[in-house]
Amino acid sequence: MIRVWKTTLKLRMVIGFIVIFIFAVLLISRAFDLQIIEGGRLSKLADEQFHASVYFMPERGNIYSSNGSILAASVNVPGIAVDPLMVRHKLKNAERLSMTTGVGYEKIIKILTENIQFAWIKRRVTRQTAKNVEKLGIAGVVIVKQPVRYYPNGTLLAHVLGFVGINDNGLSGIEYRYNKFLKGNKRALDVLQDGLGQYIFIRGFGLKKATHGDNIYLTINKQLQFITQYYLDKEAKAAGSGGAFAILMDPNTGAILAMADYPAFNPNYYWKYSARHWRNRAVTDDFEPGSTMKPFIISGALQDGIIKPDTIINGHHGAYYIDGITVHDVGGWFGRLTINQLIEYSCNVCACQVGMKMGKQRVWRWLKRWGMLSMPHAGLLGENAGIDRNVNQWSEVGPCEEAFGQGAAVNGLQEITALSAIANGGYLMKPYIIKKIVNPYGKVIFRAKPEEIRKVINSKTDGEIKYMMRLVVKGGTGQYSKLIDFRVSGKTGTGQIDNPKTGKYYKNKYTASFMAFVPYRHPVLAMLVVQQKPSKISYYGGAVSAPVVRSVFKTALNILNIYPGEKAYRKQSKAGNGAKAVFKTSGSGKGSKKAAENTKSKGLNNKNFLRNDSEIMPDLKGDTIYEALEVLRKYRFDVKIGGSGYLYYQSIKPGINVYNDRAVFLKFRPDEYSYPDLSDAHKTAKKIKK
Amino acid sequence: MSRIKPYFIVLVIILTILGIFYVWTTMESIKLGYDITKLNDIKSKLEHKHKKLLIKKTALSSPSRIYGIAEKMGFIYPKEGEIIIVHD
Repeated sequence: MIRVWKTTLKLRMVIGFIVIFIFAVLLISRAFDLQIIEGGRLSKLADEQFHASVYFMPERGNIYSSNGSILAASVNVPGIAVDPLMVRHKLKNAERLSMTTGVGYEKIIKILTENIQFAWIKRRVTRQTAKNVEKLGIAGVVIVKQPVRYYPNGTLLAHVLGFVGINDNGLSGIEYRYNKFLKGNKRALDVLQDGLGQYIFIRGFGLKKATHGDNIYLTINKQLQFITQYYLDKEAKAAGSGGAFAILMDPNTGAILAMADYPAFNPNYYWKYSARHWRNRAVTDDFEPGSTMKPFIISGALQDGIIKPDTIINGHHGAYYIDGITVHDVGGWFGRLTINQLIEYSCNVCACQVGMKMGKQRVWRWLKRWGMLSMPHAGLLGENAGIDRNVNQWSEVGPCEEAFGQGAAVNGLQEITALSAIANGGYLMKPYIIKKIVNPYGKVIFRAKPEEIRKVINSKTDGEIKYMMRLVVKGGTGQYSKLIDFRVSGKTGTGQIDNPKTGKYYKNKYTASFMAFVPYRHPVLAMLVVQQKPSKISYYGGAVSAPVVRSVFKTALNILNIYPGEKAYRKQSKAGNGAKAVFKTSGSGKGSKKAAENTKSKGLNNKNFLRNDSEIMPDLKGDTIYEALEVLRKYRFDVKIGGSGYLYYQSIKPGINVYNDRAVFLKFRPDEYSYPDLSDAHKTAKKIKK
Repeated sequence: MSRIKPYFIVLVIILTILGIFYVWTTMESIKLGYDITKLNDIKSKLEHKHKKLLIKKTALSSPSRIYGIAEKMGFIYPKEGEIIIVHD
């Protein structure tokens, strides 16, 4: 019995071993198959399943005004897309989609029956619509988020900002010109994901920010931009102008404070407007300026000693025949006029004679010295150098025509830059609109500095021409720009428009312009307004464009807290507000010479301002903590910081000299807006009282 | 045999503890990975929301809108000479 049991046990053990052996062989061979034979393929499959490449679409950089208010920004907005090949029950689903999205049934049917794998049903929908579509649960219909550019101020600065196309590429204006800064870079990162497709953190996530676009800060003051645009729009409509533009500049630095165009357009819906509306006339349009050219040519003649302010010229009672042409004066028949009166009453006949006295080469040279035939390089799209024949191709009466602004075609940027040079003491400053470019980490990668191109006229000539322009507003052709509280200097211009088909001037189409600066002695604002083909009220610059300048100056000086009375202004300058330009242009060499002259003309303490930059407090308003510290690094004083966000208060006012080591207290707030600082309003009021 | 046995038991215990520790850390790191991913998502969403709100705020405080409202309410820019500086 025991023997039988032993035999059975042995047999069972053998069978057991055999079974285990077979299983072991199977397992090993399967393992061999998985690891060795199929290993490569399976490992690749696993990698594909657990590792995913995620594309971080860059966020387009924002565009800000000078005080940090958003002018353009992008946010992701849901859109509804479809893979038509995946959609079943097309008729029924098309009806459901049409009901939910508001897109026409027939349009959806057409999309669903196409033999493609991707199509948009609607590119921009509300979050609620997207949720409703998701709830429908139609296979093949997906919600895709895509960046959309917003311009929260609507038409404000639209011509300068431009707009962005559906593929997030700038198509016009700053958006196009600085696309490579704003756009950022698409970046793929390898991440781990689980079976549900959820990402598991890896270090690469931290690099996400580096791909975003840079933020651009413009020199534009949002409030000044609004009033410029508002008054231009109002007057251009009233005058029935075909087009118009206005530029407001800080004459001491060349910074563009406002740039407006008429007719306006809304960049949020740019496709609803024709291309005529998109054009930034202030930059792209060349026009024969008419009499606004006179101060530039006359100042050249004064500087070269060809004439003096009291030189008498015969006005020939409004008609002067010279070498086959007759020059007319419109709206006045003058006898003998001084040069002062020539500018005051805008006498073409007299200007013609001065031009002829100067001769071709001299007039040509002065046009060039004022920057009339050079690229402005302000950083805007569509800039050009103006148009003029070569001096050798001028007719004999060329200098005569050029002297009253017919012949050379210039653009608004060139003219406002030249006007600013008259306003600031004769220094031609490079115009600029980009204040700074900041990368996504907050580091300033570009910061604009006022740049002097050349000194065009000396202080004596500058004083003379400024006085003549003052007479224009006081009792001449520019009286519509007169202010009660401030002294304005300006020059009117009414230029004929060339008919490209006939090569002759239109008989009833004009360019009505007016350029001016304020306050007369220490200008802080220079402005040019040009209206093309005004058809109602009048076609004279003094009648249709000067009122725009008046309205803008009146409001802008309030906004800038510049109080009536130039004595008060000088006191403000000493306190720092008006000394900003001096600080920015001071330094060594040419710059310091200019600073010295500017300082002198502003009645400031010359000795103080000739000290080097690092002892003059800069204007930090609107800067982030990082930017402010970066600027203050070279200074010797302690910096104390309060709050976070953007700087709105600095204990040492801009432009103030700092002799000893001392502490500066900076206050920041998260709000991106800068409100008018009223903290020292009572002090200023006290000073005025004194 | 009897001398080896205690060492063997200690070794097994240490290995077991190490194994458990390894599994725990791996699990924790994966859990933290999920948390960080979630927080990143929340951060992105909040940043996005913040940006949207800023845009909305800018749109609501745009000068043309304020001007329109002010005009409706009868406010106007002061005329020349109407601004009087108040002295202390």
